[in-house]
Amino acid sequence: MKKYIIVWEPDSQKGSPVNNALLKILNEKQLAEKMEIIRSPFIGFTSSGAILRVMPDNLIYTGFRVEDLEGIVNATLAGDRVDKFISSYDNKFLPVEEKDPLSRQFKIVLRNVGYLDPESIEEYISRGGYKALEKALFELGRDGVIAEMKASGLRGRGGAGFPTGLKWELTKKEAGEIKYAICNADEGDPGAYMDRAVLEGDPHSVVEGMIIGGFAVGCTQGFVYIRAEYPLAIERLEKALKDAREMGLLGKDILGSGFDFDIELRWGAGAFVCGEETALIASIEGKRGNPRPRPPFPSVSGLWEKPTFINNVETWANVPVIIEKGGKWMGSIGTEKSKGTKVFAVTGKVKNPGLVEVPMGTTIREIVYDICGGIKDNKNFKAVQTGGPSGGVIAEKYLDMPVDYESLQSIGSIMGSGGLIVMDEDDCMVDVNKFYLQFSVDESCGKCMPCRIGGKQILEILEKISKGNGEMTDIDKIYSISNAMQKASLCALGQTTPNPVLSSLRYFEDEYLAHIKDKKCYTGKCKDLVQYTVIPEKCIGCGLCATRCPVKCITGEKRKPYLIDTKACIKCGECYNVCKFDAVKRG
Amino acid sequence: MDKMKKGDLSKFRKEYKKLSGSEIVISMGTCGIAAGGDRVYKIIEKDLNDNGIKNVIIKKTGCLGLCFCEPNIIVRMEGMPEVLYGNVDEKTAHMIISEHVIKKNIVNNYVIFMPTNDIGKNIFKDQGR
Amino acid sequence: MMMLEKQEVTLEKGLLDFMEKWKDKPGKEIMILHKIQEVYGYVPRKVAMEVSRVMGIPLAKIYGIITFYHLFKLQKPGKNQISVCMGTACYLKGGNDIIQEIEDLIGVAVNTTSEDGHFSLEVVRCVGCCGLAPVMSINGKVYGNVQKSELPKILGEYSGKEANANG
Repeated sequence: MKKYIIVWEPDSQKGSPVNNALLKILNEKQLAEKMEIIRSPFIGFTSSGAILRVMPDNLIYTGFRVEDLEGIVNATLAGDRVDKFISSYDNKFLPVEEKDPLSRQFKIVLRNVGYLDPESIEEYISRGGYKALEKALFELGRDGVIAEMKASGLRGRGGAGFPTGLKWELTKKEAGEIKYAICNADEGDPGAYMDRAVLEGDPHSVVEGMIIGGFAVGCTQGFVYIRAEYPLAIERLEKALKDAREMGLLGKDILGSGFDFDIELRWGAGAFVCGEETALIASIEGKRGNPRPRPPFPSVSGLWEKPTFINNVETWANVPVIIEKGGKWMGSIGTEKSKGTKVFAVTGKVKNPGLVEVPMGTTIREIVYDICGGIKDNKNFKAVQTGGPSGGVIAEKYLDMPVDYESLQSIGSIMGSGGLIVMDEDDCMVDVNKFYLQFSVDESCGKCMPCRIGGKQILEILEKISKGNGEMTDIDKIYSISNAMQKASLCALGQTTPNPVLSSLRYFEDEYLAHIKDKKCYTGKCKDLVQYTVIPEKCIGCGLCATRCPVKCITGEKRKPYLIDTKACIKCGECYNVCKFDAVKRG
Repeated sequence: MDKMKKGDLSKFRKEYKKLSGSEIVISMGTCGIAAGGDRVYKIIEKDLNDNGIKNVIIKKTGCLGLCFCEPNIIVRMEGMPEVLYGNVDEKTAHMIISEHVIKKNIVNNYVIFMPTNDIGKNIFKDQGR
Repeated sequence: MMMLEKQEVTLEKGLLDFMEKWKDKPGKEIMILHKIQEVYGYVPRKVAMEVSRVMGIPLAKIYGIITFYHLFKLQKPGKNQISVCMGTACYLKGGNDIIQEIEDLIGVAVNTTSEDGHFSLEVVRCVGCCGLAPVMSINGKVYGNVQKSELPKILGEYSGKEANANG
């Protein structure tokens, strides 16, 4: 069989020496029939040197020199390998039999996403879909399903990480004929989109999970509360429900088992607070999405005052796998207290943004650098933010900390829904937190006072600091308002609103102090605290900045240092960005 | 279709046959469409038609999670390794048909590798499943 | 008790069918408002009053829901609706600059409609395409990796259509 060598070379390696050398060897040896060289812009992880991937042998080579290539080509042709350069990627959180040394990712939730046609139930079934449902109905029974769920150690993927099996058990125990299962698909965290990907790419996994959950708990009706902003997800999910009904997998007498269960869609309407379970329930009931005090918890009195259990999309998509492979199998993946995998939506200033699914316990460094290629444009890492407006920042010193529910909490962040936003040296903590606070203030439902007023007050303080009017007492004020909000807010939205500010104060206090004491924003994001000036020694007088300046406030003669009129400057930063000689100073 | 009963699912799986061993799968989640996936779909559909190629199935799928190189498409041709292309623009889409599908040459520079462990199918291990 | 007078509006057939289908389902209010907005582009007062009368939902409740949720509009939007995403990724990657540039280009501020009713501009929460940030959409068509320099061309596609229609 023909061999394929896939070549990846880092951008810094100019002129593709490895690729050219390989092509030369191929030419000299006249191997075009037996081997093909393919250049690839992405090979799944990065290294400082070139990477080769040999197919179909599925070997990875790193750390070789151009002189070594001939040996690798010869070995490949002979069906052999050059052990010296075989890369030894090791993934310590996977059970042995599943281990693939070539990857840090492990796909459970995204198992079908991107591989199958989401509008074809036939394809889903052909890949083993609805096998778990059959097993649940005819082998495990209701208690068996709950036992497997508990054994798996699966915890809610929507934020707080409550054990899913326990939640099901609690709802099952409640008396009453009518109970409801709800799927929270109102993915509100700005910067997370794994739920959309699952619903658009593999809707049946969620449907199957819900039927199993409904069976175990004893419901006949389920609801999917879905963001109206995701029309394609709605369309595909509706198609999935219709197909499942037609095949007897949903509706009356599922698979002839006598169990009835159906699912309806209810649309959200753009309210972040509706991710909170009591607010979500109010919204499905057709009301304003105001949260209410708990207890009673939804497992006792939820939708239309009936026992209700809510899981989010990612949690539901895990269910069929747990049932099919067994809770013990799932329990073997991940860390001690956090089992299974987590999908992260890695975005922001990262080279290869995207969705990654990794076993719990993977480090941020592995996610950001090994899988996503590191920071864009070779800038410096500053922090990552997890948990969106309810989460916090993770500073550089925690890059190697294994990520799970507990570890994130211990450093002041949360797992949240899995948005992972990478920030580089150009991002200002005060500015970013203004964004998060503005978000939480807009989304506060206004029902309870600490959230309604507290958030607004912290936002105003941040605005004051970013304008250069901050005082040292402002920091204390932030702490005391935050304290009140955490203790006295009705729901998680208000309780977590101060999190981003508090965690950034914990790790980047010096940046706040620079804004307050020195009246400087070194990233240039707080426009009132930045000045652009030309460094005369460095300026060669090319005039590029002057032509690019939108307000024409840069003047000078060719080949002599230029001058920025700081009064007319609108601080757009264009001159700083275009100067090839680092002759524009920001600060 | 008739409603299924216990045991029908495994029978279905056994009898299920793919329409063809060769297929082109286009990533068409919201982001894939935004990046031009629907344009690529139309081009590939038309090129297959114009060249009278009937044994290659074209289908759409969800988001592979490789947002940085959307639109991406997977090409499975019988007797060739499965290949994932990223950053597929109109020109590349035409080339994928004229080179990869017709001449059986992999189109250089657009091949993306995404190694992953998964309990479904690892597309890079696909040597006749 | 004051009864709402029957309005002179006739509801669109699709909406009436939808209302008929949902009339006995609990929690129908939000779904019906979505349908109204799909048909009319916003929730016109007269329609809301008529729906209130037919369905027996108090107008105050309808108004309460509309104002609680970001998605429902009380004002008629422009012919072409520009939505700029301001999720975190888009914010970090310059979503603000995109808004500023659009405001300058077409002279429409956020949450307003141009005088000729041709464009309206709004800021939306995450559209779920963070990998393509910054993102905007016009009439539902999503544009990713938007550069300031591309905006005249993108917006031109839409102003061009009107020129043809008028000419």
